[in-house]
Amino acid sequence: MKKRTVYATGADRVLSVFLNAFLWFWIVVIAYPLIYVVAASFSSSHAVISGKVWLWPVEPSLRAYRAVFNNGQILSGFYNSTVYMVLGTAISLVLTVLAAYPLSRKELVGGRIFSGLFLFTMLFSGGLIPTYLVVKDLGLRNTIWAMILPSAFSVWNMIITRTYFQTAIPDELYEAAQLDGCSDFRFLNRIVLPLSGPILAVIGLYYAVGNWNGYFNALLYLDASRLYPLQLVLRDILVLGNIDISMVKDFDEMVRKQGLADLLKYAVIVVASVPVMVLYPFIQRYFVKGVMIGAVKG
Amino acid sequence: MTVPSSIPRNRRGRPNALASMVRHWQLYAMILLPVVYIGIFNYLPMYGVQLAFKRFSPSRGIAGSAWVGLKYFQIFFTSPSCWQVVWNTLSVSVYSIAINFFFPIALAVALNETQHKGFRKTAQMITYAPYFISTVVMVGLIMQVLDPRLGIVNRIVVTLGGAETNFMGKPELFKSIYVWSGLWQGIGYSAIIYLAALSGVSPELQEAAIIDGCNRGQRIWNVDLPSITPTIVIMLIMSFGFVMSVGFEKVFLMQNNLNLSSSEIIATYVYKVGLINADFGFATAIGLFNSVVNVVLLVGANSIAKKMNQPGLW
Amino acid sequence: MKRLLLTMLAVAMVATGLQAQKSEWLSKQPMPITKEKVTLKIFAPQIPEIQDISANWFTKWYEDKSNVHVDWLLAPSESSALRQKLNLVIAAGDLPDVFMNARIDANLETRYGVDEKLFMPLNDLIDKDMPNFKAYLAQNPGVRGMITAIDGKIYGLPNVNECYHCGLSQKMWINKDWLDKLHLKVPTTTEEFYQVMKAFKEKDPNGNGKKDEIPLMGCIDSWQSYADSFLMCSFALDTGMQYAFGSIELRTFLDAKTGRVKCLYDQPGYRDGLKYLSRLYSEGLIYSGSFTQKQDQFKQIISGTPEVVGAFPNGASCVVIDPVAQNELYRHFVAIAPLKGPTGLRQSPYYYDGVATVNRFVITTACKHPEVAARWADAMYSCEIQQYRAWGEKGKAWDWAKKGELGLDGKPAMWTNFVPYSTEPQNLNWQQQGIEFQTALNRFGQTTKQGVDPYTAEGLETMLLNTTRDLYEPWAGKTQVIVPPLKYTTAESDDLQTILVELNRYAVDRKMAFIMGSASIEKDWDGYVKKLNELGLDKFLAIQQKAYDRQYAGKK
Repeated sequence: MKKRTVYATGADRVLSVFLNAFLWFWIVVIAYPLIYVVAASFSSSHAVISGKVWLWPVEPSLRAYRAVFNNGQILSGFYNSTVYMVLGTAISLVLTVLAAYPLSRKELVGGRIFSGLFLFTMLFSGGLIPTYLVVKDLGLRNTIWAMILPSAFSVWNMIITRTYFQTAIPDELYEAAQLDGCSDFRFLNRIVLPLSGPILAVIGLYYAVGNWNGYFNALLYLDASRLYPLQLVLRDILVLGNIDISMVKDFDEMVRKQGLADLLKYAVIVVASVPVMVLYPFIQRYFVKGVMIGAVKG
Repeated sequence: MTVPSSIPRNRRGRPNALASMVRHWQLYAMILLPVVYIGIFNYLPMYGVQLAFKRFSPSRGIAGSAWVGLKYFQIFFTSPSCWQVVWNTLSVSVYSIAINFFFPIALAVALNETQHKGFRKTAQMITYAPYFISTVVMVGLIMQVLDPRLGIVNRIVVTLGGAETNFMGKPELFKSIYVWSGLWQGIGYSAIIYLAALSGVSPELQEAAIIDGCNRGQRIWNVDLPSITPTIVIMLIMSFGFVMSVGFEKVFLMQNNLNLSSSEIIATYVYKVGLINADFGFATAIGLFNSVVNVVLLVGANSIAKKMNQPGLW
Repeated sequence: MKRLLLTMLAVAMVATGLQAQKSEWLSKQPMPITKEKVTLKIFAPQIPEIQDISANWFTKWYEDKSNVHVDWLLAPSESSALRQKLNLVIAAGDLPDVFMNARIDANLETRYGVDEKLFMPLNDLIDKDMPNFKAYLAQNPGVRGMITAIDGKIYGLPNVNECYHCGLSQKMWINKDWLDKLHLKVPTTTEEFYQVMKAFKEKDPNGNGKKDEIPLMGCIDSWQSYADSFLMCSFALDTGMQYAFGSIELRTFLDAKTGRVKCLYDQPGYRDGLKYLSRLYSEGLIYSGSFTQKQDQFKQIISGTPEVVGAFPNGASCVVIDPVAQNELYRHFVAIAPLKGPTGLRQSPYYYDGVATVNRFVITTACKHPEVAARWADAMYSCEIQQYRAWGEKGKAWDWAKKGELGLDGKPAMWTNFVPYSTEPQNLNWQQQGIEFQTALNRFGQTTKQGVDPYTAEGLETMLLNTTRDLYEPWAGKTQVIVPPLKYTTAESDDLQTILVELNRYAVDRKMAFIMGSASIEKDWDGYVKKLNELGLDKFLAIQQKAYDRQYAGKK
């Protein structure tokens, strides 16, 4: 395919200016607080609380990071979270595709019933106690599966995937494959998945971020700290600086904790979001235009 | 394209359902696993919904707990501020859907149109990052920015000759602060899905549009947007399934004595009641009410979409 | 009624007359607790200050001493997460032997202890197996009421923390530097306070030529930092931040003469107090952000240059001003005594609970060796074991005081601390884990450098002690007192649950409207009181009274 030179018209230029202004607006508005968070995490607590930090660390200090990394569980938390994220995302993607692909096919008799079954679970849930009991009865408590299975499947993500399959995979492709005697498994494997890079990347990212940020399952199902994911470890570190007015009977401690509290919350954000930030450029690679070209023509 | 003649047809000329099922058994084999999954993790615990009508007793279990009928619903619906709380929840939610619907799409389109690759990637990265700021810090930043003395907003207003305003103390501004700060935090993350959809737009269509003499604005309007409309519509419909489920933490942290008239939502109300009475029943009952309202809204949104000839959820 | 008050005040007054012998310090619980080794399964939050509880020095030392091994079932320590986990463990029927430090409040106690019978009543165990705790109860009869459940049984042991200055925590700090500059006296009445604030506003005490002064500033999430409560006490008792932040705190007080529970929000005194506050507010003497800002913003404003703040309420000034990094500013603020109101009322609420939290240690009905668990807990109600628990090894981390060493109150000290307290995670002691038993004896008995400058970080405790003793104790509320923690039956809390939320929301909304002038006290007051009653104020008070009478009246 030859690239055409397109001459910019006046309207194009106006639009271009407008779009760029729009982007720059958001970049500036968003970047400033981000820089503030990072700068604050590297500043002294006194500088932060007296409002001296603007763009650059004031009275630079690593105290907050030292406090975070002093916690013996931080490394195991990193390790656990990574395992949960990788394994969890893989399982989630498999489950999601296995539901989304059949539901995207008109040939699935009773597709509406299946859709209804799935959607119902998005709207209604049995609540904490019975879910806890199910997980307990399955013997998942205090295993890594308690971290992965109960939240392995998101109907929301499945529906998005299904929509993508329906719109991006042309029906002609399927019919042609059928004529060639291609089975559904084969079609999914050889045609659909290779064509669905962008959506799988996005859904994978959503699951990965969900797994990474999740602490609720850990809170419910884990009794031993050696399995704790990073987020739970970090939440516990934040409690170090938390001042609960009802507990203010121990006054000395409250005063001692205060400075640390102001710092920790920023450092914790930085530490916790670095891995998911690093993940993003890998995802971006899939947002390339024109993945469909060869396929449709072939 | 014809369907192979070996498939038996019924009277209306459509393939016989059973035969089609046999022929496409692999589709059923695929969907079996997810169905089993939701069976175990979603449907099995559904019996817990009966807690909305029972007073839970741990020693007797869910099944053995005593019926209280519609008591929890009655308590909620006869409380003086019930409708105010429901209204606050609905309005903040619909407001939020509207704003968080439009801007991420606009951002995705703008990013998609950017020719400079490095700039585009950096912009994506920056807009994506705030999603990972925890709610506590997020609310702290909001209060800082809007502070009457210290906040940058008031500093600008005062420099321009205006008077200091305590934004957090104005009940009429609460919803806007909540929604726009939410957009700030989520715009990049929500835009990702539209970016993916846009990358699926066929370049051939683009080419054709160029040949037809469309300018960039027209191409966005006539090619890009129609191509991602199914995704947009589905996202919009699904968000109506969560209208009543406004999250607790951020609202709670933003509450103060001055803005309670508009900041008390269902989630914070249930939380406060739960502190006084350690009972799962009330929360379960209100959860059930929320779900029912969500279903009604979702079904409504879906049928409107279908009437407008858009793909629905089912 | 009088006797109750006396015991309540006893803790406050104890500060002046302390003296004890070392023998009182030692544990009366014989060790080892059991001949055969016993294992207890204990549910407890994971304390971030401790690296690994099972390898902790005190865990091992105490196991050797008591012959009791602990199997830990750890939960997160953040309070809402902890509560969720606790509820689930109980709902799923996975009872441990003991819930320790699990924040079981009065409602959970009623639900799981009284209604469900999942907790073991401790009354007999206390008599038979718990000599230390029994002695403590005998010395502090007021505590019994607080830890007794509505069915008359005791299901949980308390955390003891007798913090003298915390008992009178509604303090107001005023800028002495500004007072001196403007040649003003320390205000003693509400009217004088108003004049001082007016002078702060108009006479440019920071001398920058601008009217940027904030005469009075508060915030919503620090310690006793509400802008209105301290001042309101000169009109009617305002308990300020009495309970956990975030919970529903409908302000009530007890009329000491009649023993009746009253709600602050419909009192005539409250009405006058609102008028006073609204006058201050309308003249710009109370900072408008006081009712919305949090401590973060408060600290930034107060530490800005030039100084802009004239006065602020807080439990201690060091909570918002760093005594080291901002020492000059820190020195400017001195506490003032409660102000005399127009009717002559002058009072400071006395938060008399040396009991910091109830139900710190709860034995469940699943426990096979309740007497062992009880004894294991009991030893911690002695200053001796407490030293090991909170500080660690004797000789290394702490030791008994030498002759000539003096305590915080200037009397002979009992013990000396060798390691500075630190929030860095460590493994030498239990910090906040287990049962804390910080008596006034223990606090005042710590060897303290004498004659330190009170307005330094080192002199902090001395300054707070002096301030509280000289300025606040004389005015500890006597006619209007705080209602001690109440416990409700299930039926009562069912009735209360929405009423309380509704009443509270309406009352604080109106309070703000009255203070800020969007509602008129003259015109709208009657309608306001009527609406309070429509929302269930009568019913609320009736339940409060019933609960109070059941728990405390007619008892010692």
